[in-house]
Amino acid sequence: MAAGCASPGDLGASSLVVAEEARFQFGDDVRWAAPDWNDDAWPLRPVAALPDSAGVLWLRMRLDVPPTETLGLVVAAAAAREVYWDGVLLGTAGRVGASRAEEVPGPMDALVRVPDSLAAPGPHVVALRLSSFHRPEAANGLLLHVVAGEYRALVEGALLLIALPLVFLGAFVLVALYHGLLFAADRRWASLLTAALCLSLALLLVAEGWRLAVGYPYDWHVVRLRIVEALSWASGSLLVATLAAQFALPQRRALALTVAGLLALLLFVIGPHEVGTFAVFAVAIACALGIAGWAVLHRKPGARFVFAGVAVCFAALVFARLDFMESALFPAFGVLIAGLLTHLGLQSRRQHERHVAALATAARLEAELLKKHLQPHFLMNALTSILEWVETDPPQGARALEALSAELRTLADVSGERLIPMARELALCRTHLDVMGYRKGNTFALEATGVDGEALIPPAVIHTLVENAITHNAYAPGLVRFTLHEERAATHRTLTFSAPLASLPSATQALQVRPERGGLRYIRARLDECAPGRWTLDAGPESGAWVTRLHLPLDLAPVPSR
Amino acid sequence: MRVLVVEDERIIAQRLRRLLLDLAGHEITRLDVCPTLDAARAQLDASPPDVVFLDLNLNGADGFDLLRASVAESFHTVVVSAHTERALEAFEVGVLDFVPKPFGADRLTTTLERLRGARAQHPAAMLAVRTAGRIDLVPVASVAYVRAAGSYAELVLRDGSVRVHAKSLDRLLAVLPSSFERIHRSYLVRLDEVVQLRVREGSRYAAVLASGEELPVGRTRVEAVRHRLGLT
Repeated sequence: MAAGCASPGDLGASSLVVAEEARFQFGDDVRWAAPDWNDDAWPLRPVAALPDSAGVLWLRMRLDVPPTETLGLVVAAAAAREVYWDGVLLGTAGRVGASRAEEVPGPMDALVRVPDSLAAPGPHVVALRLSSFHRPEAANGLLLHVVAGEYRALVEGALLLIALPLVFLGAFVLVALYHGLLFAADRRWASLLTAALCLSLALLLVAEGWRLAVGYPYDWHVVRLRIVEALSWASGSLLVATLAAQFALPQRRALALTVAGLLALLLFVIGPHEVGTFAVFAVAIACALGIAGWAVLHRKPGARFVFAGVAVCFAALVFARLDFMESALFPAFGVLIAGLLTHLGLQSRRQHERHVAALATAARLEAELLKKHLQPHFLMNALTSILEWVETDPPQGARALEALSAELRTLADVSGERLIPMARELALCRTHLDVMGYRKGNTFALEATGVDGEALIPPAVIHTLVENAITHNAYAPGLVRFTLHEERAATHRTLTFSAPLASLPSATQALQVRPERGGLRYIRARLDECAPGRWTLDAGPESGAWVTRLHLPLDLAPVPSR
Repeated sequence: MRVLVVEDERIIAQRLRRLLLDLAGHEITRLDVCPTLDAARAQLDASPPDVVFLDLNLNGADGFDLLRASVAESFHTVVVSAHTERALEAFEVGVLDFVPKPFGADRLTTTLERLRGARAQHPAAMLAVRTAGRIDLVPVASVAYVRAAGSYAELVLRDGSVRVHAKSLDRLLAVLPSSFERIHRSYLVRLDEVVQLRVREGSRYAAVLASGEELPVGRTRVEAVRHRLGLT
């Protein structure tokens, strides 16, 4: 029997009787249909071993039928035929002919009702007159199957055999559709491959169920088998590719292509028919088990579910062996797809959580930045100084007030951004230096060399370094010069900020050792947001200055990547 | 009055100095400005001021450590800070006043009045006591009475133990709750500790405490004490 094509007679076997062997004779004689024709001289063979040669062939077999309400007879064969029951012509499939031109192919499978007058319990003779000129050379034999029994049991058996695959067909089509739509939205290979895998499985189901559900002329049988083999190859290859993509396996493209090539080679070497397709699924599922195992070992989230699904497939493969294609393939793949869906569901939940966390971080950082400048220590001290000038030197008070306004305005502008151009960052730093200059009675300068004003940076990163330098150093009145230097390499740039170390005698000795406490946390959080794990920051004293080096990748992403 | 201003922002220090001299120039005999309390340390030891105007960033542990070190000293502490939300905590450790930034002449006038003898707006809940280089906080509720000992004060606790505070009786009285009353040149007592006033020979008076201990009451203060105790 061909891969996966169970016949109507397979169910309700107790009331059914199957022809195990038949006598055959080449040639053509209408008398050979008669029940009492002496065929003792005809060779007797099991039905699976009947000869397969051109020309008209007669077969005779005996069936001992049980008592039935209504007797039915199923005849399946890859041949045009006439079916005789006790010498009476019950039905034909196509037209039997002595040559290819004369013959018309008919359906593979046919179920007929035996008239009640001929249905008495006991022995009966079934005679078949056949020809098979339209069978391709590659086809394997007559594929004869003759079953007699209760008519209703034969019909219901066929329906039951179709029902289960239909359930899986619906499931596979839905999952394929879902991932197809998902791919349209996320453009991920993993989504496309999952959709393709489910589509391939659905088509395989259609190809398998085609014979029972619709039927076709016998010369189409080989075409269907080729389609089944191609879809088996596609399903096996896509299974490996899908898991490799879902778990972001290293070298996944090469692996998927290698496995696909290997499976094609297997089909070619072992040959078509059930052994070939079985080998394809065996190798593909073994590879899938390896990938899922790798994912579990590497603690990929949800990998356990996929591993369990693949393991079920593997167990079905081991226990069912050559029956796998026929009895276990689709339920096993159903479990596998369920495992995959669980994994994808978990993955999507994690992505959602990460997204929410990223939004929360962004909001927190914005609040932190604004708070830093609304906090009493900064704002009230600035206002106290301005109040002093309002009373003693109003023009100076006006200038200081303008500087403070400029800093607060710039800050409000940039605080909601995740990345701003360096030019704006430098402007923000300089407004802060103006304000602090007025307050401290210094002239603060920030000299930038090699800085690309267009390049992006999270807001207030350099500003925080400037702020720390002023907070933790007690500069003597006069000019204080900070420098910022940028150097570019192939994949990253280095920003070097240098602040002179200075203190009044014995004033802030302790603070010089760790001059960046609170602000550094803000900088780290900002950089983690836009370049997680891809930046470094070193700081330390270098010949009278506190030097901070910031290494940033050139491609800072405004939104955390998925 | 000797004044020390601890303020690291030049303009704000200048403002404090200008306003204090405007408002009380005739009383101020000396006014120094230091950027930090540490920097002022040597000078504090040589000639302790009467009051320190302390600029504190109270938004952090360091600010309150500095504050405790300051209130444990003999001089009065006036906090000048932007963190008004921490004012009550500052009063609880015994500052005389809390001046929120930004400030003007009016607010400093109030501070100067408190310095001239009024009590703190909020009394201390704890007294910072420096012992062997460490600063302990003694709950005011555990103090039975205070006894002068030279320029220092001895806090006599309800359990009988004694702690020495660097402040004089006058300065302590300014930050203690109103339940404390001066009954003698050398004694402050918590009135609810007094069970009776006893007349001693030579028309001298003594306050008898719950513990049975007797403290002398100054002749000029008898009427006031009697009044506070509700004995008239």
